[in-house]
Amino acid sequence: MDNLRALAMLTGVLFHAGLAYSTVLHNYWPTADASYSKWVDGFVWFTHLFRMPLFFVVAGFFVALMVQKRGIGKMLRNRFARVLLPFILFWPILYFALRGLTLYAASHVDKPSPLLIVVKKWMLEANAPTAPPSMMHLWFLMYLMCFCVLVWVVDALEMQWPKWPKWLIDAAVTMRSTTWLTILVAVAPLLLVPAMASVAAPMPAPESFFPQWWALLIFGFYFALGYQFFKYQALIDALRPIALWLLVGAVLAYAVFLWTFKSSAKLHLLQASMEAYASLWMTLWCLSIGKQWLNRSNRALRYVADASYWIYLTHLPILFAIQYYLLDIEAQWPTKFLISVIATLAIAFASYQLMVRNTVIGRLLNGTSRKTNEA
Amino acid sequence: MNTHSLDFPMIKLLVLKDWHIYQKQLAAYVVGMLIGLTLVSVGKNWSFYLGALILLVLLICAGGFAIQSSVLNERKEHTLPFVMSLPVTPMDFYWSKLLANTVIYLVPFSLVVGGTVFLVLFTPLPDGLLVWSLLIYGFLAMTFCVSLCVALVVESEGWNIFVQIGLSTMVSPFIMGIGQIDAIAQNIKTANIVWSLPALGIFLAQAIVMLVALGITSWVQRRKTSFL
Repeated sequence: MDNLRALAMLTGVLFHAGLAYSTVLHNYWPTADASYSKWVDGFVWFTHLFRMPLFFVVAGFFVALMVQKRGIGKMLRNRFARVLLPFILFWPILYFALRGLTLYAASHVDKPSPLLIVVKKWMLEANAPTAPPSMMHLWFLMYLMCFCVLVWVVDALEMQWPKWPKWLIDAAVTMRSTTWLTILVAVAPLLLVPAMASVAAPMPAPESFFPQWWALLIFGFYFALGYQFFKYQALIDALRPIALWLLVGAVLAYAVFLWTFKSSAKLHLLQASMEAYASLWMTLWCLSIGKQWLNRSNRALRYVADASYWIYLTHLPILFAIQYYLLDIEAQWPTKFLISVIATLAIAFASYQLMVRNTVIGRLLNGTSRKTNEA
Repeated sequence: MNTHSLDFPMIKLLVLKDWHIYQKQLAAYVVGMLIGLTLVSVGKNWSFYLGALILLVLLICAGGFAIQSSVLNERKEHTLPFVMSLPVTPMDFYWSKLLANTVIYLVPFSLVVGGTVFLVLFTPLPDGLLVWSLLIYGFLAMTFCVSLCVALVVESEGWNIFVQIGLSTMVSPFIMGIGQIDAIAQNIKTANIVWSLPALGIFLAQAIVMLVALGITSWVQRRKTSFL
């Protein structure tokens, strides 16, 4: 599960790197490059549909584990230290770093992105509009904290987690036939459709400091799913026979989503449904495949899992600095994409090794010392 | 006051006890506040006003219920004889109640005030709203403080209900009242944050009322040699 979490976080680096070469975000992304392609959209938006859902499923799983092992109070204390505190410490640094980089790029880059051109114009105006500060890519920390607090709320109000799915889950796990599980998996994405339909496609990131109801529902659903998966771990194994179908179904749903992407608003409900199906089915496929392939621990995997949190927190300023520099370089998007990903990961891993792994920052982010983790 | 005579570990235990008892209500308020904040962020006029109303009502209720459950109900349910059997002085008991209620109230209060400050400063809402809204929050904090002090000193349930309801009903007249003061009202819809003399005067008056209420309550409690 920890390896899956790391994978979901590292996919975020690929996703953010890819946005610079996306056609969809070309006018809105600060590092948008003159060289871009629809192929990038096909890739990045697909990962976008399941990487954060997968992260929240894993987070829900671990929160359930912590509650069972240590109780609600210690779980909350742990989450405050590992989730809220890093947000409070890192947000101002990252916010001002990204802001400073963007302002610098707006005045120094020769071939600016459409957004940088707008920023440059604003810099010359006395009463230029200012964008409200957002949580940027750290939004997931606040939503995760919110869901942890809601776990306490459920416990404090002595609410029972819904019992009605139990017989369904039991049937799905114990019956030899996969019929029940297939029905469950086929119907469950419909729960996400109203929230998905309420926002533009592809689903945006809920970066505002104010909670967004659709994000609470979508990511809350995945968090609750992860929480339930801890209680019914056999369900992950039960997914194995239908894993291939989940992958095929998710790819097909995504293909329909792409096909209807720039069509009329009348098809928005269909798009949202396809997003929901692709999102949930890919997340479940990743869980099933992750259990088969990543359910092991060695030094390399442990190292990557430990480093992933730091890398995800800090990758965006590094990536932006590299991509702002690449704006003026004559090259095609595949080259720039590869350079920006490899250089960002190299710097992030090096900084982790030099500044984090054996320091107080490492203990803050990963909790235990390296020796304990390796044990 | 001689703080050396206070039993701090015992006060901490009593605060934790109140926190534990009150957590069910607090959990409900957290859900209410999440709904309120979510409505505020929807971006429609109706949802903004509904969300703001929910937050304001929850803030008043959070303070009222905290006092009701941790001070007045304990008195009604005759918890005092049990407390008297503990190695606790009246001052320990007083400080535990004061701290527990303040902490319980500060959780939703800081959430709502922080949310408002962010909303006013970083959205298209006029920045001039800041002083006006902080005055209202200052008044709410003052009514909570006075209600708590009265509950700690006055044993009559009737008087306590009278003070709580009376102060709560003063919120609307207060909002209307500060809206009549030109130095405050004329800046509400502008981008200027003006700490005018009347506004500072009201903040000072709120702070004085809170300090006087706390001072009188502490003085009354200090004179007590026993719980009875």
